[in-house]
Amino acid sequence: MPALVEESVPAAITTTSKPGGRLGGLVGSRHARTVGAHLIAVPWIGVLLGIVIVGLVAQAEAPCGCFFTSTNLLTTAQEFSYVALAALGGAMVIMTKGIDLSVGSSMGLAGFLSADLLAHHTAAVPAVVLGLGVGVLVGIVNGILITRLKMQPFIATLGMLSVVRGVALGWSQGFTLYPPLSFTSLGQGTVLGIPNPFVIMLVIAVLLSLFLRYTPLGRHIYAVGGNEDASRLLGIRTQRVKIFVYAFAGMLAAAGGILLMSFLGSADPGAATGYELDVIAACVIGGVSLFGGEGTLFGVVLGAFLIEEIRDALVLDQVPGYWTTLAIGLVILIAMAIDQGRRRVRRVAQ
Amino acid sequence: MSTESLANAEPERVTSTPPILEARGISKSFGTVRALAGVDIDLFEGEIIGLVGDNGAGKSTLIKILSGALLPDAGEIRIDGRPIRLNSPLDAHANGIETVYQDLAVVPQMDIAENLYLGREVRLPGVAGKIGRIIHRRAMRRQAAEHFESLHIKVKSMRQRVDTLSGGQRQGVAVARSVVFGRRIVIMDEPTAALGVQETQQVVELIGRINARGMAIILISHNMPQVLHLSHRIVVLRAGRRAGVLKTAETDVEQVVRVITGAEIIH
Repeated sequence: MPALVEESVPAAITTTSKPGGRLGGLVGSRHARTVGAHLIAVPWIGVLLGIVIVGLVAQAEAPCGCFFTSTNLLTTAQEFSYVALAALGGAMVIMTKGIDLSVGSSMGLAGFLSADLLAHHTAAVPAVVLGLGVGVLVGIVNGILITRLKMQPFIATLGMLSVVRGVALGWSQGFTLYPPLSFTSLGQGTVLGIPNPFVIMLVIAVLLSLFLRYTPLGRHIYAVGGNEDASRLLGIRTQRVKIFVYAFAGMLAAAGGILLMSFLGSADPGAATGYELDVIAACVIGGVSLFGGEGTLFGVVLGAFLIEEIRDALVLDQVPGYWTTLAIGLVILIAMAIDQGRRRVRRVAQ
Repeated sequence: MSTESLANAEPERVTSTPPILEARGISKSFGTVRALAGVDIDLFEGEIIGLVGDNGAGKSTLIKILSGALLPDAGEIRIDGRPIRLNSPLDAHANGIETVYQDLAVVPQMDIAENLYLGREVRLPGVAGKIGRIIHRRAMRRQAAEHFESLHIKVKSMRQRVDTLSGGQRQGVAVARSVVFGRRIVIMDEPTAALGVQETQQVVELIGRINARGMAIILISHNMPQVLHLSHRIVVLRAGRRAGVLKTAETDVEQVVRVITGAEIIH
């Protein structure tokens, strides 16, 4: 068993880190230099390589030989979409040099609120809108704590993690709710055979990427993370930008939570506990620098996929589930090391 | 206009025209510390004034007030003789004042064109720009390239990230903003303090170039030879008061230093 871990996990290590390629690229041939430069400039290339290699290893090692089957891939696509949705918002927060630890709790509360409304015969649309609204509300509170009360994002959202989870737990008294069966069609349904949550996540990811790249507000999100003082002096309303990203992150987390509730057909007040860590991991693996000002949502989606793929691969390879946490932890550390290395190489390159 | 001739050139101005920028009785206290006690300053069209003084003399406070980053406790600021209120950097921009900060107001992770237009992005024409708020990246790059060309700031491409630029080039980005947005007054806070010899020379030349285009400049610097080289007049602050105004052509480093330290009193 441990042999499998050694083979599949280091595979991810060598591909995502590529130490030889990166450093060799700087001093080596002209061709190697452009490859190195791309690995520095475009973090998601490494993640993509990691995804391919984890997949190949999983296919080779799995007794069922069933990694590359549409059933397995579609299941993985389904399962990573909730975290990926929340990670799109989490990434925007991290781009402003912030952090949002409350997204897991927002997912749980939004799912629970929507389920409660549905169970009390509210129509689907208002139930979903109110669920999203509670996510926005949590985000606005985060934003106000951080901008007006000048709290550290880590501390403010850590507090909100507890507050929001506490509301869900206290309100539910620990009981799990079940939305009407008809509502599960949202999370369990498919479009042309592709799971709804994946389609929804992908559409939002594409639209948000365009927003980040082609609108003033999108650019200001990067600017605030890159140099907040300069942004303010240039007339950007930095506090508004921050409140916006926390509110948006709350809404996307709520969307993930509602889809998860719909897929599961149940709303456990403790649902999505700890998901904030997966969200941050997906961002970091996908190349969103915790130092702010950098990253792409495409990378974040790939990062979230890689995490779920490793989980899936370890299951198919019959590795005891206890090892999964270790494997993901290692990938996070590698991604952080690459981010640091990238910054160092940039400084040297100047 | 070559920068060498600047030191000896009086700004061509008709004495009857009011100063482009005029500040009267500017005072500012931080708690019990009186940073500025009734300072006056005039800046005429096309003029470079050197603002000098020891650390703590009030230079930074004064330029923060003139750039809209701080509100004075008392005093009046006029542009073209018209009283204005500078509540924010945006107000200063609207009145034609651009500030180039010592610690470089650029976003390192963004490219040159984006930095140049940050906060004032060019948008696509028509509905896409007005309602969709879509920015026109190509237009920003093209215009940025033209401005860099005309200011003789040499960079490889407008798509270069600012963190790959030298210190002199980064200052160039900050200075170019003032040209791009048609400012008439540029406040420069120690623009060469963090730069090497060659880069300093580039920035000095750039300052001469934008002045030659009619830009009035307030230059804050500890580098006395540089101030004497570039400015037309020198305003000396000492302990929050204006210790004197010297015509650059009629003074030298020794006298400026004497006024800064209080060894010579002039008025």
